[in-house]
Amino acid sequence: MASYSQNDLDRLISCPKRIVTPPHKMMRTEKGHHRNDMELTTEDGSHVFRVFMRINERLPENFSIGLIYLPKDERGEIHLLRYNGPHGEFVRLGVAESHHVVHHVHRARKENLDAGKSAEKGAEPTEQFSDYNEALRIFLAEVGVTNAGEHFADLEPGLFGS
Amino acid sequence: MNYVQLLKEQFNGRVSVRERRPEVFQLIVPLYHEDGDMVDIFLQTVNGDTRRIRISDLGMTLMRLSYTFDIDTPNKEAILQKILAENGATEDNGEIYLETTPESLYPAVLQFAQVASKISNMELLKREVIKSLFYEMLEDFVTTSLVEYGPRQKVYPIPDRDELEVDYEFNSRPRPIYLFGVKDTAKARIVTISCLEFQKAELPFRSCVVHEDFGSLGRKDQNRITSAADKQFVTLDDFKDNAVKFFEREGA
Repeated sequence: MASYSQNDLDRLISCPKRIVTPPHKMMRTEKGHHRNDMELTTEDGSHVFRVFMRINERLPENFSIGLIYLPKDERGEIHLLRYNGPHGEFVRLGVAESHHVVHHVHRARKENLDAGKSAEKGAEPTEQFSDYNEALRIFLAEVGVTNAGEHFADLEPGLFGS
Repeated sequence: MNYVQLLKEQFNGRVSVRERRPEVFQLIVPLYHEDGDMVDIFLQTVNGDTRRIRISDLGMTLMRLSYTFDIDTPNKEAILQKILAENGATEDNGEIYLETTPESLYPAVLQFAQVASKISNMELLKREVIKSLFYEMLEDFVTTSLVEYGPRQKVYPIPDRDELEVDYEFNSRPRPIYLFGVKDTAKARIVTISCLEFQKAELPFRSCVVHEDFGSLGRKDQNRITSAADKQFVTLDDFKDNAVKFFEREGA
């Protein structure tokens, strides 16, 4: 896999993107979870991404919203960013042993990629969001989706700067 | 002693539990996924019978897998069922579980963690092992069996659009054949976009796609690439069997 600097990874997360394959209007339910997906590209079409949205059917507080980068010129994919509900314990970055059952964010890190680990290994607790809808709004803003309002009209108006 | 206390004793006190719903306990045990999240293991009695304990993931394993890999073909479903059967586990509406007695909780929990790990790695098996040699095998075939048709590797038909790459061009005819190898969803989508962009630019060409396993693509990706491409071979073997006849028909 090509070498990515932390700046490259951060830029891939935040660069402006457009939804090119929109999500379903309603989440589908299959195999015990509600799901939706969409595909994004950068404004010039040079980079392709996939976003997944999942909510566990039995424990709805266990949700997951993620951004995956699909490099065009090499195999594999990179999990750039994932917002999670308080599904259980996770390894906290830079902490030898910790026990957290809180909302948290996984973010791709150069050290992980260089070490051959999952790019998003380790997470940080967050108080930015406390439920799925709030997480989705903040996620769409963080990953720079410029036409989110066209496809997520039921989210609180005005959050996408339009 | 209730079964939770018994389990703690079996683990030498190195586990704890958190009650996530009434009488549904999440096990806190140092077993982690590759991203650092703990493996999701829940314990509950079966219909209140304290002699029957269900160890379950409450649907979390297949939810996690679905981030990057869907069980959407008979082949994938068969692999999942094989993993479950070999490990004495069951799936019901996405929930993976096995049942045991309080005395056997310790080995059963470890066995369950192994099941969750194997299922979580289904994508890895597909991506890294089965598909690893596909492009090399395609190249080997093209550069030996199809060499008389003059293949050119890595061609960029639209100037300044180097993201739109053709794997092999066969250009000995008025309309060249653009050949693409596709081993996974990501490449299928790039090929779909490339074909559509070439059509939009009104380039004279015929597109030909060789899949490693067309059936492994999701239904929507199958539909998209079928709509965009002129000719597809569903496997490499299919291509090897029929490529020469195809090229003769095309007059390449």
